Amino acid sequence: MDIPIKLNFVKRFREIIDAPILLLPLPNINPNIISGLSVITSILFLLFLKKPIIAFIFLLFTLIFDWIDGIIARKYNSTSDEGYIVDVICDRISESLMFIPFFIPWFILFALNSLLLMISIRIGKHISLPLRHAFLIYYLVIYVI
Amino acid sequence: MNIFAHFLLNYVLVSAIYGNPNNYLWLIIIFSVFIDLDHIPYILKVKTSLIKKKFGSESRTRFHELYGITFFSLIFSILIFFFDTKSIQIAALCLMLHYAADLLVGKSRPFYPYIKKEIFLGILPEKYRIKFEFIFTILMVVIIWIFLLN
Repeated sequence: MDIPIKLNFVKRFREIIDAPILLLPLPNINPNIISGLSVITSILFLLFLKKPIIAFIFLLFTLIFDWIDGIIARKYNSTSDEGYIVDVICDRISESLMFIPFFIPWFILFALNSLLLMISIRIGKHISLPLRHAFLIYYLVIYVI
Repeated sequence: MNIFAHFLLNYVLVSAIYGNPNNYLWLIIIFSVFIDLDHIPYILKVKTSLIKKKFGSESRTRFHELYGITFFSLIFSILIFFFDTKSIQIAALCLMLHYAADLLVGKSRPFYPYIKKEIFLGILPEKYRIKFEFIFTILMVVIIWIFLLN
């Protein structure tokens, strides 16, 4: 089976969003390491749950790492099938960890997102829900503000 | 990662998030290590050459990869409606931390059996893996000894 490809409108949306960031002098770091950092910040988010502002900062870092790994890969022409797999698996594991204390409905949504990824692999088209972005707003509104 | 490191890491995190990990000790032990049971067929297959071959990504079944994450998360999503919420959360946390720790320190094949490509994050160079696991295990024991048992 081949690696699932991203939908055209998602690709175009990312190109528009990423364009200004690509102009910045980003460090030439292995994007897989940055993806891995997003898993570590998810664990730190859990550790600081009792301090919502610190937890929110780690949540923000998780999303920033997830965002810039792809940008750095594109900037230094290091996009690959391996990079795609690393990015996707780090996203799912990061989601799973962050959503456990908020089980209903977040962890259940993660389980469905994970199932969606399995379907994506079978049909060859990448489909996933931006759950952590929605969770960021939820966490900010309910726990920080 | 070795089973002791998995258990100790999960013990520390359950303590930090939920408090009183000793009330859920058996749950932490079981869900920290049970996924590693899928190494048994591999151990029986390679037998004496295990020291040389070690536990690479080929020692894992599909339940140690994305397939397992999806399968168990769906099971937990159903069980949450029938059992104690905190117990299910702790079981899910221990299992997902196991996947996270294995992903961070070693090679894996997340899309196995559909795509067999092996990945490695590279956060920790592979030659330092054994040393890191040893130091990490000692560090976790020290953290538990100083902060949780006193």
